[in-house]
Amino acid sequence: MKRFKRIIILYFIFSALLFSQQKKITIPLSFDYYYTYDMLVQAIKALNAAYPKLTELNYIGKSDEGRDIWGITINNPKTGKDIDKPGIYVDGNIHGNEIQASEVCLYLAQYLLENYDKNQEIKDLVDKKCFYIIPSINVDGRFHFFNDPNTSSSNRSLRIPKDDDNDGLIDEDYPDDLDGDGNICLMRKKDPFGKMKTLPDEPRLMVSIKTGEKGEWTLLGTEGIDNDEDGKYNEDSEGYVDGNRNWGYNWKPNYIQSGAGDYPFESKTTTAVAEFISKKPNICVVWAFHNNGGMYLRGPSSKEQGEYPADDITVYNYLGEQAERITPGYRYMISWKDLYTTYGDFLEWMCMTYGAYGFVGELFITESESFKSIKESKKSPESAQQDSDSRTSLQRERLKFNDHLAQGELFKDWKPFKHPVYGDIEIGGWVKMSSRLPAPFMLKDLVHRNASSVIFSAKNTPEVELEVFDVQSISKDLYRVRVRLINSKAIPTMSKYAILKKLYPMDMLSIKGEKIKVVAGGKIQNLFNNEVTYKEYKPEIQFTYVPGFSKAEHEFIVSGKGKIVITYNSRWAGKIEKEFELK
Amino acid sequence: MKYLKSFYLIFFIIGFAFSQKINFSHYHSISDIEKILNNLSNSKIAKRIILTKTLKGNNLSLVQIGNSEKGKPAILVAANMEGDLPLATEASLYLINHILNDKKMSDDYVWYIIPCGNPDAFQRYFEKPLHESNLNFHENNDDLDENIDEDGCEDLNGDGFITQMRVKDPLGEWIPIEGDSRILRRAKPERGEKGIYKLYSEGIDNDNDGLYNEDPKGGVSVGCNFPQFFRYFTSTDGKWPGSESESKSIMKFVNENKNIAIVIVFGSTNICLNKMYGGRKEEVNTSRIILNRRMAAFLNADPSQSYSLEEIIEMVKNSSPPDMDVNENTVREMLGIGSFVNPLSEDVKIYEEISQKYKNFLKTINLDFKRIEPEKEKDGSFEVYSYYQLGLPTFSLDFFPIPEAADVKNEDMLSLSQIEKLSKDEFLSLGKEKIEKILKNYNAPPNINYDKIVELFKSEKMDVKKFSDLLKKTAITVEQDSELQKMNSMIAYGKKNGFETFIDWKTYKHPQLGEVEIGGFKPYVFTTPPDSLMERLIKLQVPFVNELVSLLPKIKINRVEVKSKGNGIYEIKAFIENEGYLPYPMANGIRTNKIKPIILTFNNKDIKIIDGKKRTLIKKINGKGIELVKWMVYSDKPLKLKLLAETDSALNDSYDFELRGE
Repeated sequence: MKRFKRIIILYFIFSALLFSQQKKITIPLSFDYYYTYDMLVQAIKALNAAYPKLTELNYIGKSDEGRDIWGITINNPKTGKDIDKPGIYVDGNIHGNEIQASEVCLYLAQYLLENYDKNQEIKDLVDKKCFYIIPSINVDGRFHFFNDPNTSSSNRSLRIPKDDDNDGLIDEDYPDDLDGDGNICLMRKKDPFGKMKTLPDEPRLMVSIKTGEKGEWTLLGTEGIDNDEDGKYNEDSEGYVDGNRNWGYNWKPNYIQSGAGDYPFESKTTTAVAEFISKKPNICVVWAFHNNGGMYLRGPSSKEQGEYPADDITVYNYLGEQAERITPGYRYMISWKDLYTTYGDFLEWMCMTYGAYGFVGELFITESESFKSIKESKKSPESAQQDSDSRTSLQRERLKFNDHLAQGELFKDWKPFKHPVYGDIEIGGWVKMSSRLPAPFMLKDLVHRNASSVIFSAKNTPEVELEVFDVQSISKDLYRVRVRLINSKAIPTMSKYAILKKLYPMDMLSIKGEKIKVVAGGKIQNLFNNEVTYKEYKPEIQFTYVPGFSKAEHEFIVSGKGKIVITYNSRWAGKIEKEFELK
Repeated sequence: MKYLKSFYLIFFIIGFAFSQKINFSHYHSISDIEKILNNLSNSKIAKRIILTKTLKGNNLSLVQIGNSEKGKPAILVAANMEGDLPLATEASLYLINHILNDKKMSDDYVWYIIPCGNPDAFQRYFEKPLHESNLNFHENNDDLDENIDEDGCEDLNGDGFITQMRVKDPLGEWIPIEGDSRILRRAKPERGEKGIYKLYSEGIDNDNDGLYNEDPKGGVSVGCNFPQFFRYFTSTDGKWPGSESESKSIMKFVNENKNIAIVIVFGSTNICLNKMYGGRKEEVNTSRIILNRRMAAFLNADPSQSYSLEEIIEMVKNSSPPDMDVNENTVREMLGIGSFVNPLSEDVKIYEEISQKYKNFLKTINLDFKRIEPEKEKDGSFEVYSYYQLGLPTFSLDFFPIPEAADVKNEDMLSLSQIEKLSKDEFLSLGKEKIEKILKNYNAPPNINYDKIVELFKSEKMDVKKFSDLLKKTAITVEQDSELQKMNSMIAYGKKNGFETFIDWKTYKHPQLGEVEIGGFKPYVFTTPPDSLMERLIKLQVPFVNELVSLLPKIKINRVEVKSKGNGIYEIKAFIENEGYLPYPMANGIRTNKIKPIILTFNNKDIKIIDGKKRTLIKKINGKGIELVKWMVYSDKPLKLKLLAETDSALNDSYDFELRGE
């Protein structure tokens, strides 16, 4: 019993200690540090608490390890229900290590809410649209990235145990933090027959030797021991189902797409998010944030799918090229062609199943860690000659950035260590919170620019006006009524893809009245030549869509008199009703 | 308390007795099956697992018979995944009954039996009117209009069956076949044929959109909702593979139970009679791959030139560290060039041999007649998922072989392949009447008559080969031919066995179409023999399952040899054998990387291994094959050891031996 008491006391001390390490979350949120999983949840809830009239907290579901996944909806109920407005979906951190993606989401939410009363543009935007924001999808990955020793690239996977090396043991050979510093760095061993040597003026950096040169080091790989004694190091760490390969479109098995999982939506995490999305048919724009490389990627994600319809590419180009300007250095690219092929990724699932327009934002450019005066950048060709390749010069520059802008926090100097198998080795290299993440002082710029790219696309979701532009009497009690739908934004009311693949019914334009009968109705193909394609059955309901910056015109021949209601109903552009009298 | 005990005992006996006495005089409905499965819980060796509940609230059940132990092979029998094959469900019940009555079957194996993979569709077989459908009840707006599931079929003439309606129409596409005006085929306008009828399923146009029965209740065809060759963007196969709780829960189960050694599907295909369907085109031509710039730079290759997959594998090997495992899979993944799409040649050999066994089996049960071909494996079906993704030996059985009817009206008609084999003189000696019959039968163009043919043959402008090639083009396509053959055979089979297959066309006053005729083949008639024939068919054919199971791989340690090398050093040689017929795993199991290797370990963890591994992995042992594994170990004193061989699904074995000096 005594022992039990001691444990309880210890528990309180520890939890108090843990708590004190965490920053208190206040609104407005700060963007000069990274949010742990717990802090992130607090931040989402704090935003909701600070702006209850404009936000709704969304419990998305449980992750594979049982953590809560939270989202936040930004919508002004006074201007309508969320699903009656164009929906913009934004998420991040589907890969556990790609943490700043969540900060972009948080920032976007905060920026919209904070400026609602201050800035007319933002007020209009928030009143007309709806934002669904899930800052962190892979909450388990985020938790373990912060809490466990990692490289900047590890802990990407969802937490579903898998036997990666097919040896009958599951997750048995993970990297080990041998020196206990919270980072998984690299191991190297002095070796006259090694393939690497240090640079004379920068001993922290190694380069490959040329033929005939004497070697100095052998690079042993990431920090760890061969836990399962099979001769391979760190080949079966926790996971590996890749959150961004487990979705239902063009899914391919694990042997051809590593990280696919055993079947689409094997993960509770992806299943929960898909469930949420399935209830939001109004989502027309999707942003999924990752790191790194400075890219705005669009599909297709594999070649055999073929290119998207030309009309859709026009929309992508309009949004993508503008995003390139908003965030200089980022390139707008096609995923399979300019990066690599993926199967079963989230974005393609959104585009192919719901017909949405979507981008993956790969945040952060290594080159932004620059250490150059104007003069030096002008004569970069010569300075590059100092090193055999540009990669080495970049590393050299990043080390200087580390020394003078991060005071050594990004790179761990090589230190001797006694390895149980390799003997005397050295451990060192880039730390966990480096390489793919901006140093905290650069975070605010990154989140603001990327949130602005989202805002630009959000502004371009369809906004449709309906006008009855021509009513003519043909004979007694027989009228021709012409209706025009005008979309003042770049994004159409349906993607061409959704129409071609028949993903769901098209927008509907219908005419009703108690004392009327609709004799005929159709789409006006050419207004000046009076070319109309009539719909043979049920002329009172027309299926249509309105392209970006364009119009759609329909005609009804109506017999009767009295009050008439014309309704336009669109998944993306909402519902419009117009009443008038036939006299 | 005592009372309770005896109550349980009685219950147990009744329950077991019931399970032993399933009556196969009629098809079992969902509630019948529920009763049978509920009673299983009284048997010590069987239990029912509910994989999921369907949208209609039906249970998707799996029956486990036999206790699962490590290494004990499990047999997955997946019946009626389509939902419209009651016969397959009966066969699975028969198998359950059979296993419960043969203790050895559950001693040696674990059985996982799914009586029906699509219970909601299955339920339709027991509803009036009878309407054949393999769809579950997932809402689906088939016609993309303003309403969902608003236009299904109606039993207009009240005969209890949803059949067809034919209407004379100038735009009709269908004509009756010669010899049987009941049966319709598509007219061939390119041959001057003019359609007479329009054909609809029985019902009215409920939503007045000019289309008949185009948006019925539901749904998704669960049997096509699996990931291999899944067809996106159809109105029936689901939005994505596993979009239905039925298919997803089945995939979850089969992936979590690594003891499954073989998959046997009871359905509409027969991967015992025929080997798996092949001949699919790869997504990418692997003999001519063009590398993108990034990849080309990495491999030191020329981006403007094309390479074969084999060449690229070599290049990748050359530019990777030596310990990196580079194989076809890794390179395919690197290049993003899809999965394998045809049965692997090593497996095809095995399928061919088993097909021979199956044909011999059919002889012994007198079902070796020429029959209507079973269906090909469907894209997205469980069969192809199992073979291409689970990497398991996969077989299937259908149980309703319809004997191919001799073509009565054309008994003396030569087939095209027969004609092809004739010499010029043999052909001409057939005479005017026969040759003209041939011309008519194969729809030769009207300008080609007997005289013309003789003239062409004599001037050597035409020979027999050219002639038969011409007829091949003009004849009704092979597909239509086999469809007609199937219909004729069905009618003949029904006649012979005294049951009605076809409901004769009768006129009916349709509110929208005016005068129509309602009739056609009875629903389910091609897949579901009448009650009276059912028991015999499954009783004869289900036992082939025993034969398939007897082929399973069995991993044994044949022997261990120890040789002392002096100074406490020993060489250990172990001979690991696969006593079964099938390899462990099959070639697809290696490709999919889903089957765990055979793992060899010593029971003594402290043994000092000088050469060799603590855990030795054997990737594959062929059927009846043997693999040699060697270690060099050190022990300063004699040591008793045990070698363990473990597998997930092909048994475990151990072998005791000793290290000692000579």
